[in-house]
Amino acid sequence: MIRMENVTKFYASPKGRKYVLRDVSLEFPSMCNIGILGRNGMGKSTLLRLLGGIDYPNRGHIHIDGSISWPMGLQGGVQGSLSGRDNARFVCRIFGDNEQEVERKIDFILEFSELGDYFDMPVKTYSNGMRARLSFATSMAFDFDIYLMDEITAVGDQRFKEKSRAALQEKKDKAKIIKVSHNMQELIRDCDVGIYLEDGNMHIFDDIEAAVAAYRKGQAA
Amino acid sequence: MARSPFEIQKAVVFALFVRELKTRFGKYRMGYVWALLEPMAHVIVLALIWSAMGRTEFSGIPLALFLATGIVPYLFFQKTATQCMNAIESNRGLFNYRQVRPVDPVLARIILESIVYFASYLVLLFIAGWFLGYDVRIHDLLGLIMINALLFLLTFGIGLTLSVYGTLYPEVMKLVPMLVFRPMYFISGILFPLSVVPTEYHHWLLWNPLLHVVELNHVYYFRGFETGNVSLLFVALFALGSATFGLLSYRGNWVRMVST
Repeated sequence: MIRMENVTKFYASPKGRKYVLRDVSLEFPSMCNIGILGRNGMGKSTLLRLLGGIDYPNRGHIHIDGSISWPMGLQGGVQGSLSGRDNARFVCRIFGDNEQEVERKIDFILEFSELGDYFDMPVKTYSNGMRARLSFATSMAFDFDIYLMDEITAVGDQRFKEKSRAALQEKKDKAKIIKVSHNMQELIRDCDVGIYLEDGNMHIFDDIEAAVAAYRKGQAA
Repeated sequence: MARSPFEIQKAVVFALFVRELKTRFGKYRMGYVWALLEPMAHVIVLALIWSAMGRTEFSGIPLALFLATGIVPYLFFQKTATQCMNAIESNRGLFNYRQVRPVDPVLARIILESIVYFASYLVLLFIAGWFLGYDVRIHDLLGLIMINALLFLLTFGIGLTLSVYGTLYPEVMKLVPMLVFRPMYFISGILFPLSVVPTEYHHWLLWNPLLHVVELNHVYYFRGFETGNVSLLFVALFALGSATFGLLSYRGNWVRMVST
């Protein structure tokens, strides 16, 4: 369960404060897959970072029950000079796994990501698709209650997309996702509930299609 | 799997430590040897300069030993402080995991540098004693341990302070190495001991805590080392003060260090 209490988040800019969230209090619907929509720069990724606990509101609190993944996306989370294997090991270690568990997860990640020999090459030599595969495979090695995804399933080839969808589907019986995407079909397919971000406000729609309609209306205006 | 904050931090610092090991030493063949070569290069160059000028000892202490026992602690301070200052920026991507807090890479780097410091100290002395035939016996081991424990605390305080302000104000990262570290190399008692400076200038030089640290390293290492008015208390107070200031600065600013 995720509950926001008077959450305000802004960025300082030369032209004054730019609000991402302005005094937002709400409870996220629980046990639903949630899609987050909004125009560019409306703070979708920032919202994911707030939920993931790696950015902090200027005012207010966010209460989260249950385990929540890191925001899976293309940026961040890896050290370019280290190999994919070492990056994956790092993640396992900070989650407190012992060395046996680490090696078990590493095997899984290697297998799932299909990186092959690239797994032992520095991540900076990876293509975007390979990075996404590493990031996605790493998160699949853990059992979270909520997965935060920042357009991550949009990359990778068709086959990997199918595979990750299947893996998520398997997790989805126990876990839920919160997802940012500009791909409406994907959101409608994967999510039940929609959150539309606009000028510092969050609108919750119980039906993802209604959120998409609101987003489309905002686009047209 | 509820872990206590201490358990989480322990796991994170360990993971970062391994990561630092890999990036520091993994790139080159014999990466660990390079850690030793740096202080050795300083010792050799300075020893050559001094012997060209006809110096062979300071208050009865052979030149090479005098230089080694001062340069190694000084370089530990300077390198660790610089490493801490850059720790946040070079680990930016890893703050994507909420377990990782800004102080963790700073701690990992301090631990790594301390191990490198200790190891290079021992190896250099071993080389000097075994191969070069110097008398490397330590006059006051407890004193030496004490001054280096204080040096560790001082380095932690300054390193943490620099990591906070270096991250918030990038100018600090440019200016501190140039305006502070470089001049300090010349006035911290590693090139020449305080005793060769005329006494009327001592009270200026003695504001520098690193001079006290280096001189006291010599005092505890060698019997009968001549020094000036150096004070263990001054080092202790400075170390405590900087650690307090560093922790306060961190406490007040850590959210700003990671949020965008």
